[in-house]
Amino acid sequence: MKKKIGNPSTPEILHNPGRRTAIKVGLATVPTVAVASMVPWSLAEAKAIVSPPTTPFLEPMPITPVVPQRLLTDPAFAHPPTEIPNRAINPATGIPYEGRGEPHQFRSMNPPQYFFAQHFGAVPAVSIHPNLQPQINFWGANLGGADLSVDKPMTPMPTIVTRYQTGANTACVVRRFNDLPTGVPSGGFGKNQISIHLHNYHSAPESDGGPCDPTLGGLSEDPAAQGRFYFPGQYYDYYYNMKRAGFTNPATPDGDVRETLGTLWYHDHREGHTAENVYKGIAGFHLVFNEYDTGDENTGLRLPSYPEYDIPMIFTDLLIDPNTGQAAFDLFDTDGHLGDKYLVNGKVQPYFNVSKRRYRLRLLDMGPSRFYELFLTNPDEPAQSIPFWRIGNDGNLMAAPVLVNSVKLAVAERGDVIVDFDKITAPGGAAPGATRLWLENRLIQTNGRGPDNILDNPATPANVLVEFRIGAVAPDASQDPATITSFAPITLPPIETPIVTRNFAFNRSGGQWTVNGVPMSCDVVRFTVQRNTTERWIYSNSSGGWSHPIHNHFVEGRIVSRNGVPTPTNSVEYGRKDVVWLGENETVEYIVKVTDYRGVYPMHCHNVVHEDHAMMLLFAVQDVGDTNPNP
Amino acid sequence: MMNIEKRSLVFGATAAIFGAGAMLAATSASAAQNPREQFRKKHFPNVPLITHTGESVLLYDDLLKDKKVVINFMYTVCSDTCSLTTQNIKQARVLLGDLAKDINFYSFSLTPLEDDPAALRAYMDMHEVGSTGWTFLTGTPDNIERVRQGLGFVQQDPIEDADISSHASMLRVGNEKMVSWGHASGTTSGRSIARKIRFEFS
Repeated sequence: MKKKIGNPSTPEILHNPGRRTAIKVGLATVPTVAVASMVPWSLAEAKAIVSPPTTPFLEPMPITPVVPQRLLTDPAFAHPPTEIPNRAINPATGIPYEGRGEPHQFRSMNPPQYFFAQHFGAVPAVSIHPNLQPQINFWGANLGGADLSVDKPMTPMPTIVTRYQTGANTACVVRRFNDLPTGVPSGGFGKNQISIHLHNYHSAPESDGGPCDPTLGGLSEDPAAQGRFYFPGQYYDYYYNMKRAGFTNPATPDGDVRETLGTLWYHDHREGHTAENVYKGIAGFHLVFNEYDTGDENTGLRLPSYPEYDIPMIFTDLLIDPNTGQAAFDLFDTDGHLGDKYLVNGKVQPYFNVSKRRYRLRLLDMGPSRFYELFLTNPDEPAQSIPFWRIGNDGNLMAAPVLVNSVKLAVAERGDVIVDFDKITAPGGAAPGATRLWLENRLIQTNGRGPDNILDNPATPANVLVEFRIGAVAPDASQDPATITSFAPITLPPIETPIVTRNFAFNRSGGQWTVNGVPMSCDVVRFTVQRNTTERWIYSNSSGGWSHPIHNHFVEGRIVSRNGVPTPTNSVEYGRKDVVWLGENETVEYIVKVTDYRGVYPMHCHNVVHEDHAMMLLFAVQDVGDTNPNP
Repeated sequence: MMNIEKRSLVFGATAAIFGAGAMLAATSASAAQNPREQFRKKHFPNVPLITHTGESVLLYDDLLKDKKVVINFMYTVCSDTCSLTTQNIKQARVLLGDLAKDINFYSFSLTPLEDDPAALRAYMDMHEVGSTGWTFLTGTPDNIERVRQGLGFVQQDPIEDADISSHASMLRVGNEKMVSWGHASGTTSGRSIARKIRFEFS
C-alpha cells in the first residue's frame, strides 16, 4: 500500500513512466513534499556546505612509502603467525589475540616466506593543504613498528609490494594490528573495527577481508567469534600465497600466468561501516610484480621502473566543513558522499615534478562515491588533445596498450597508464613546448548517486587533481608502448562456456539499495558457484539516474557485452576486470571463472555508501553449486 | 549561530574574571569540534512527540540522549512492509535476549494525523509487540516531519520520497553517546536484524 506525504493533488507523477522527466516536472511545478521545504533539518540543506577555498599546486605530491619486510624475530611476531588462528585469550584485553576465525587455506602448499606488519591507528594531525587546518579525523596504518609515536599511522596507507615467481615460494603473511582509538570517533564517523580487503586478489575467504560469513553457524552471530572484523587490541594474519589462479591444478602449481595480477589495493570492509572508514583513510596500494612485469625497466616487459618512474596515485574527494575545518561525513546520507576537494596521495591538488621521459601512473579511485573521466590538459593550450597509453585495467595488464585520450574510473577501478612527457612536449608532439600538464577530471557529478554524463570544459582549475611540472630530459630504458603489441605471456585466458546464467538487478527498494530487490543480510548466502566452473552473470541497472560500480570478491570476469554490444577487441574493457561500471539503464554480460578456494565472498556496489546501505550479497564457492538464475 | 557566539563571548568574559569558568568557556568554544554536539544539532531536533501511552516526550532529551536505540518508521494502516518489519524486530528482540534490555526500540508514525496513541496501541496489540523497551510515537505532522528529515529517512528523489512506504523498511541502529550509527534492513529477518544489532553494539 502506497501513501503520499503532502499534496495529494498530484497522483499523476507517480505513474509517469519517464522517471527523470517526472523528477524535473516535480521540482519545477509540484511541491511533492510540501512540508520538507519548510523544515530546517533537511539533509539537502545539511549537505549544502562548501569547503574553504584553496590555492592549487602549492605542495608536491607525496609518494607513499613501502612496508618493509620483517623477520620472524621482530616483536610484531612475538606470537608466531600460525595456520590456525591464535584464539588464545589475551589477558590484557580479555578477547582473543587474533580476530581470524578460520585456518589459512592451502597454506602447507606454500608456507609463508615473507612477513609484513602494520599497526592501524589514528593519524596524528596532518596537513593536506597549507590553506586548511591540520586534519584530525583520519585513520591509517604504519610501517609495522610497535611504537606508533615513532612509526606513525598514515593515509593513504603505505604500499605493500609482493611478487609472483614461477618455481619459487614467495608466499607472505601480513599481520595487521588494530590499534584504532576507542571512544567517540574523531569527527563523529568511523567504526574502530576493521576487516582489511585485498581488493582484486585471489584470496581464500579468511584472508580476503570480507564483511561476514554465516556458514560458521552460531559463531558467526557472535561479534567476538564472527572471524572477519576485529577489535582494538587484536591482530589478524592475512596469508597471500602469491600464486596465480589455478594453482590447485596439479599441472600448474604456480597458477596460470594469464591470471597475473598487478595493481591491487587494500581497504577496510567492516560490514555496514566501510564508507566512513575508507573516507577516514583506510586505503592503500598493494602492488604485485612478476617475472615479466618486473618493476625494472631494463628487464622483462621493460615497463617504467618502480618506484622512480612507476607512480601509484590514489584519488579521493573530501568535503571540509568550514565551521570545523575538518573532513566531514554524514552517516545519515544514503545516496553517496561527494567532496569538493580532490586529494592525490593525501594532498589537495598537489604538483608533481617529472622528467621528460615515460612514467607509469597507477590511477586509483578510492571513492567514496565519485566517478572520474581523466584527461591530460595543457593549461596554456586547453584545446590540445593529449593522448597517452592505457596498459592496465583494474589489477590487470590488458592484451596490449591502447592509445586513449581519457581514462574513466568508477570507485575502486584502477587504470595503469604510460605517459611519455618527452614525446608529448617535443616538437611535433601533442603539446609541444608545454612545461606543465594537468591531470583533470572533466566528468561532472552533482550528487552521490552517479555522474551526470556531461563533460566540463578543459582546463577548469577546480577539476584538476595534479599538475605535472615537466623538467629536463632523463634517461629512459623503458619500452615505448607504441612498439608493444602484446604483454605475452600475460595474455587473455580463453573464455570458457558458462554452465549457469544468473541475473543481478541493481536497484532501489524500500529506501535502500538492493540486489534483485533484496538488501544485504549477513545471514544469507544467496547462491553457490561450483568450484572450477565458469558462469555468466548479467548485471542490470534499470533505475534511471544512478550508477553503480559492481565488484565481486575473489573472481575476476570478462565484460563480453555491454547493452548487447560485444566488447570490441580494441576497447579498454577488453580484458580481465573486477569492477564493472554499471551506468544508467545499462546491462552488462560478465563471465567469471571460479577456481581454487572454497568459501563465502561478497558481491556489492563499490559506491561504498550504497554498499553500506545494503547493495551487497553473499555468495559461496563449493564443490557442488546451484543454478539459481535470480539469486 | 549568533546567539551561540554571543554566549561563548559572555562565558569567555566570565572566565577571565572567575577561574572556575574557564572549563565552561573551553567547552563552549570547542563545541564546534565536538562530534556528538555537531551530530545532535544536525540530526536530532529536540521536538515534542507523543508516545503510545499518551506521554509527551522530547526527541533528544528523552528518547536519544545517552541511549542505545533502534529506530524505524511505520504507519498503522501499512499492511506489508511495516508488518514484516515489525514482526522481524519483534523476533530480533527475542533473539537478542538480555542485550535487548539495554536497547530502546522506537517506531515513529509516518501518518501522525491518523495514528493517535490509541491507534498505535491497537497496532501494538495486533502485532503482540509488548511494550517493554519498545515505544511507538506520534506527534504533530510538522514535528514528525522534522524527525524524519533529521534521522535521514528521506529519499533524494522527490517521487520516491513522497511514497511513505519507502521509509518503512530501514532501521537506524545507534549509540548516541558514542556517535556510532549503523543501519539494518527491516525486511530481512529477525535473525539477520539481531545479528546486525549485535555487530553494531559490539
